[in-house]
Amino acid sequence: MFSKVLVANRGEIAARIMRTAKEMGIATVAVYHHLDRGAPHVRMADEAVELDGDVPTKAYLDQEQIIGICARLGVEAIHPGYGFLSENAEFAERVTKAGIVFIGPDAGAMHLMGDKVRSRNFAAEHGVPVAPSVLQGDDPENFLARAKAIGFPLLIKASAGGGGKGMKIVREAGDLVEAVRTASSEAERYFGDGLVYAEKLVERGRHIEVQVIGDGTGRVLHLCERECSIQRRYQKIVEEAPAPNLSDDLRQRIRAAAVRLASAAKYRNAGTIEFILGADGDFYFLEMNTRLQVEHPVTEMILGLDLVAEQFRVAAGEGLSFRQEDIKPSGHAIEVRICAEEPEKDFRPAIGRVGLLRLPKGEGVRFDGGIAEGQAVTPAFDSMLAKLIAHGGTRAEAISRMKLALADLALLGVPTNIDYLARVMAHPAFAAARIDTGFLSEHAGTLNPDDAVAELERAACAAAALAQSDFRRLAFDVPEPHAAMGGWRN
Amino acid sequence: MTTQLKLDGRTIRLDIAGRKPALRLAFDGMRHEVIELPAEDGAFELKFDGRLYRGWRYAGEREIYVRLDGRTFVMSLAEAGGASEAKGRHANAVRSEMPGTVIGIHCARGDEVRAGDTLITIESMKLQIGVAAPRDGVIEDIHVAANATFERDALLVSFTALAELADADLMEKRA
Repeated sequence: MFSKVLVANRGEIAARIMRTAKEMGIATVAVYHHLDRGAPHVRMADEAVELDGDVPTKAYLDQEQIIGICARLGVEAIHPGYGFLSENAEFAERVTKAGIVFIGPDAGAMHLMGDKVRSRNFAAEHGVPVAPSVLQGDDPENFLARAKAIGFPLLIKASAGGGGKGMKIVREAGDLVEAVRTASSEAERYFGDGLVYAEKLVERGRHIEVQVIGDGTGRVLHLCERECSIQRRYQKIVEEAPAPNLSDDLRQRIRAAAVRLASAAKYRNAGTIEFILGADGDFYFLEMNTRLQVEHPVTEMILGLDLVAEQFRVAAGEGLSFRQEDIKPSGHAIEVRICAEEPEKDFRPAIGRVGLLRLPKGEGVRFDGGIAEGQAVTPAFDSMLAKLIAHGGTRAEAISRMKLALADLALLGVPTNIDYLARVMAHPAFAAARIDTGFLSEHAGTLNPDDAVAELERAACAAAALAQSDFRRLAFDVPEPHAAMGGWRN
Repeated sequence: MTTQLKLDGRTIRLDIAGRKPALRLAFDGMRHEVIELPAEDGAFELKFDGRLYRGWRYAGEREIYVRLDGRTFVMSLAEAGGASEAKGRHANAVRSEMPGTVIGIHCARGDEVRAGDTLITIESMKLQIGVAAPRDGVIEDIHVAANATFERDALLVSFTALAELADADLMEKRA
């Protein structure tokens, strides 16, 4: 096993990775931009090195600096987390050339899966269903006509894309030209490549993804699937495992397709194959993420596994520590993403400060965070602050534990979606697992906050007023002859 | 003296109605007895008309956050009369709620815009956000350039509300 790893990331995932490294007796190195000085991941690490650079996100993407730090400190392996450099094939290659282990797949697999078009073709070649689609690059002149031939509604996507950037839904032929133009310009802006493709839109689809792990020899195991349909801005905010409301047959077919794809790629590392599942039971390959996923804790909770530890073992050449028969899910787990945002203002990201943080306790509850009191929430980084995970014997128990945990969680000083997530958990359609990617917009009306009971609101106002020193002076520091305030004067 | 708290766009007026034997607060004339009990750091415990309320609170620079019964209340102290009048005069200034970068300008000086029209697109926290006109009006000036970065509260666009223009027209005609 490695003796020292560098975690090329920040926030909750850097802290998460370091926790496992410490448990395994591996020394940790953090890198950080000066905005993150004093952040939990920096304090947790055995060594921490500040990255030079003005632009915070660019610092975490600075391949040369990070590889240089590894050489200087005798780092044996780099864990990239998710985002940042985690799916950068060039980085993986450079790290490997420098004699350091990249905890991830080889550059070839990243290159294959990193391109939407290449990965779709690969999936189709290996009998994994893909949605009917046409590529702009194949025949740009006739792209619009070929797209129309698939039929509407269509989804226009960036070939090099991800995360909803450069993605447009087109319902009528008349909107196609404009959608292609804007998708292409967004794609150019975000990915430096304006090529797009058109794909049949699966309406009311469910986002189902399969967690896999491979050792690089073609041996790949599935670690069950996750349901991640509750999304806003094409980004997940609630995930659960296993997926509810799936027939055994369909569940097995989806898992088998994922294993087939990853085996064919001789995939090494933990990875996720994402599918869209239509109401008719047809499912199509979306993409493969060649890294640890944000929502990996729900899988860990139902399997009693540590995915980061498995990543370390596979990367160190120790192979997998279990067989497919050992994978037996127990109970149900749900994760919610705690974000600095205002759900009532179209989920607009918010900034502020983590002024007060009190974590919930309770059976089956896990909080993955990388935040501490006093920390500024700046526009420099992603708005996700932490994740709350609840596990229970049944889905209903997991939901009720999550409700309690959300009620007990206090994160004050920046607007968050905590109350909104609590309303999602309490929604009857969620309880009934009637979920698809349109859930949040369909139920927008019933997910709005109801009016607080007047007395509760007034008590809150009293508490707020009494938090102000000016008001306290008015209330308590009264001049003579009213000064007989007794024992409760603070 | 009245303290005004802003909550969800509403103003809540709160007066100290009595201090003895216990603090009494009046909300829009309705009186409630409020007894503060000792609580750990960051927490509060209040007896409000005899009923116990336990929660968390944090006073930030601009807002006071109160977490009570699984709900988060974000309140700000409403500005006193003079300040809010001053603010009213600048209601036709569109300011940024957060720092960011301008990635698109969709209006020009002199353009007539409708409430809700996207005036500029900014990028903040990796997201593109449209900044909309708060009311119908005519663009007076655009104070940022494409690709420029700006801080929270920066003046982005100023415009004249149509209602005011109508008044002005009327005045001209009368004159």
